[in-house]
Amino acid sequence: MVIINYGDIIRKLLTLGATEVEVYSTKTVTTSVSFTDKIEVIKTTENLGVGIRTVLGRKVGIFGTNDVTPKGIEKAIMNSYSIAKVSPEDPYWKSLAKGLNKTPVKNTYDTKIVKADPSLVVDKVNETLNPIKDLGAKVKPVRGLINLIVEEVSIANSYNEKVSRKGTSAVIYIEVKAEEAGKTATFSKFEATRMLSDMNFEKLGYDAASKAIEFLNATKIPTAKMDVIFDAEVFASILNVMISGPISADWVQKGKSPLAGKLGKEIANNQVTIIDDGTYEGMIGTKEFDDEGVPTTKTIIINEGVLNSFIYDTYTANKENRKSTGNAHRTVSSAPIPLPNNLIMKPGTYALDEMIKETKRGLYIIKTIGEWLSNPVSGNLNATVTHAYLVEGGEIKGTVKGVVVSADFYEIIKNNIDAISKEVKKYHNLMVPHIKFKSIQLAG
Amino acid sequence: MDVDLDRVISKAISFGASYVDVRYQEYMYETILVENKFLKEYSKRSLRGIGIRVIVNGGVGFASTNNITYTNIEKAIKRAIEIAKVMSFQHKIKLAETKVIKDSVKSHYVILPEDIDHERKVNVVLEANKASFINPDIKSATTRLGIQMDKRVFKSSEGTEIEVSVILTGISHISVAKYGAILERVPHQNSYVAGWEFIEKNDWVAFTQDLSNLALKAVKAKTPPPGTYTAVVDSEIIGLLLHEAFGHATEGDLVSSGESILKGKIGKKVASEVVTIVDEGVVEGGYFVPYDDEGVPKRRTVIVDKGVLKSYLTSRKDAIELNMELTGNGRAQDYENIPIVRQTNYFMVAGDYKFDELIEGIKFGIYIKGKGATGGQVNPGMGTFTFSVGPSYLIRNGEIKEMVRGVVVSGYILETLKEVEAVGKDLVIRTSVFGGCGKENQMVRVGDGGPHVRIRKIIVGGR
Repeated sequence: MVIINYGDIIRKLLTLGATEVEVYSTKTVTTSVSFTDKIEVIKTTENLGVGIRTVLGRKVGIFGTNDVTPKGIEKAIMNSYSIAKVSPEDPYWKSLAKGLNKTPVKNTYDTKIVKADPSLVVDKVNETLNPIKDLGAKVKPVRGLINLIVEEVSIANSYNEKVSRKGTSAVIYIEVKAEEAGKTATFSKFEATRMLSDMNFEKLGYDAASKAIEFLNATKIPTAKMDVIFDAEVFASILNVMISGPISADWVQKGKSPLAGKLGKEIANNQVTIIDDGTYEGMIGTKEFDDEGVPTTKTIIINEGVLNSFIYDTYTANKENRKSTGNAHRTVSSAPIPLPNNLIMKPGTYALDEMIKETKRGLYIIKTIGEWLSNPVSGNLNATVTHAYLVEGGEIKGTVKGVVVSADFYEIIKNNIDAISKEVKKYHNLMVPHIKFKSIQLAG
Repeated sequence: MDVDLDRVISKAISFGASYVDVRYQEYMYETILVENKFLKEYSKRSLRGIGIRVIVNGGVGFASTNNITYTNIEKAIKRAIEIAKVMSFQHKIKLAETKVIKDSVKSHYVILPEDIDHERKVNVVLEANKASFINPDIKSATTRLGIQMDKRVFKSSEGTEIEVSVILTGISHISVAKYGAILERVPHQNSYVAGWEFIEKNDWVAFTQDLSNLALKAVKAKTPPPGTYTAVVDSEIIGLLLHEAFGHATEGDLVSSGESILKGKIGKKVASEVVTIVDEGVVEGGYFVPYDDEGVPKRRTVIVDKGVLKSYLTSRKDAIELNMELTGNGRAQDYENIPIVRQTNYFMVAGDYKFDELIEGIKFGIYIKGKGATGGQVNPGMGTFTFSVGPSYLIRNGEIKEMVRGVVVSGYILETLKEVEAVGKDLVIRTSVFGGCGKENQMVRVGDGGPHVRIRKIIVGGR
């Protein structure tokens, strides 16, 4: 262990004339394996990083380094100080976070991941690959990656003693290609969990391969307006792109958010309730405190369709004379910004099966690409559907690819929601139900 | 450097490795961002660490750390050995033979950027940004300074010992102009392997004002009628095309895995006979790669000679798998990553045509320019490309006429390279301190370019 002396760094900068100082550090140990139908590379990396934020009145300087030797730290101290000196005055600057503390959370640290060795990751790769091999020569894994990550974060500042947290995560990406009679199709799965036992490697391998086979005969459909069921994983990804920025107080205060000025107003169907919860048991974004040391909380963002709150870090909260919601996110060399910890949407009352059964003609979309090209500022949602089921007369009639979904996100969450499922899925730091919209524009 | 790499190597050998290489790196990246006349961000990031690759019974293991104490390095060696042992049952590899080299190289610079104080750096960027507001129709402008210092030390149990230091500096700028309800943005950058003198000797006010002028003109320009055109493309576009749509398909690992469209095409005609394509480690205007991250010299590799595919790019592992020469293209983003096959400076060799001769005789065509290009997408498996290029010009009866904007070009790279009719004299290669090439989550700096080139047929779509 390298010992970073937080107190010394802070004292040194205060002596130089700093009015406030903050030290943020991370230690990440990653065991990573990449594979196709065989293991390609296994590697382990250990990375320490330190970020120093120095405040001179209302001037702020940040320097990040991963050189944690005494010489490296000395350089970081001088750099953050001299950057602060040349920075412009920030008229809105009040202070760094005060009252660093922890919220108790469960299931964010798995000793199995901490003790992971190369033979464990080989086992996990084999668990993923075996069900694919069982499906025969027409499927081939083309890209796979498993990362087992242990992360420690510590923060201290000129107002508070150091707080530290530890967390683990397991991440998998697997893409399988199916080939038969000159036709090809691919399918990929991505999943991230805190605990190794929450990750079902066998099922992920099987799902990726069997879906690739299922979509060998996928066809294109002509341009039409149709009912659309978004699988929870797809909707999670859309929700992440469309609201993570707009609900951030940083966007709101800069005038970039389409939700600015809409607090207390109805922005969605009254079945829609979305919370940000950094304390929820065992989720990827769950932690005892945020990247400024502020305890995480639960914030109701949309309550039965009504916009209830934005999310804040210390800087954006200070600007409005309120408390941070514990949503600061940063790297060692950048200033914190408020982002969601875990976005959780309240389930509805329908079973997914019922939602399909009650669809006369529509698409059940299970994978899209390019949703990141959507514009959260204008609310313009765009995604290319790569994998969907065509539903006719309440039954699945075939597979569809290559259609583009275009919609005004705020329009459809207000006026087009038809049903929300009672089942929910976790996808990265989101947990959402399947959702059905009436009459969505599809371009073939 | 205060780490004894020989000690690390002998430790790994004593633990049972038959081959060891150690890569030590010190890296610094400094960026200053000015948005609409105000300093928005000044940040620096530094990196220092060590990566250890070992082979045990044919299995490869890799571990890295930036916690540089001997106890901790020893732990990393043990992790790498443990991985290699497991891998020897999974996937055995061999490394192609290479000469033992001892060398230390620094890219050319006159003034160390570290010696320039923070305020002076900020002022250059502020001035260039302020000057770009030449007209009330310029609605926004962003200027960025980037400085990278990268020192890499490579040492292997075979006796090779190489140190390479590179300094790369540059400035990028985006001007956004408004006309009626239309907004048009024109981004561009200028980087060079050099010290602070590169920033001092260039006129950055002229650079940003030029982009503002271009944005003001472009916002009023029309989109071209969609269709197939005879085109003259500039060095930036030919560089982008070659790197993205062709270069990746020549990377040995993608050839051996079967992903590349160029598999099995050595000795075959893949372009018209006026086309010669080269990957070269040290070249005017490009990035500086005298050696790769496996200690192999990166010299001039002729990929395509007069239209015929001659070579793929290889690392020590892929040279064996493909049974080809070592080309020195095993590159890693940093000490934390294992080297994989990457391009260095990839470009088309100059021909005999003057620019006027390329334009001459084109009744109706398009002059496609890179300045202001916003990106593109390529499928190396299919060989298709789509690029959104910068403000360009229509060619009528052998003369350059009106500007057009919103130009998107697309096609199949192998077809497009066969349509190259004439190659200009004016070779230009460029690199960037703001971007690079991403592959398997690793980003490396590259250079690309070529001369002006006339292409008989290219598909142009208007937006």
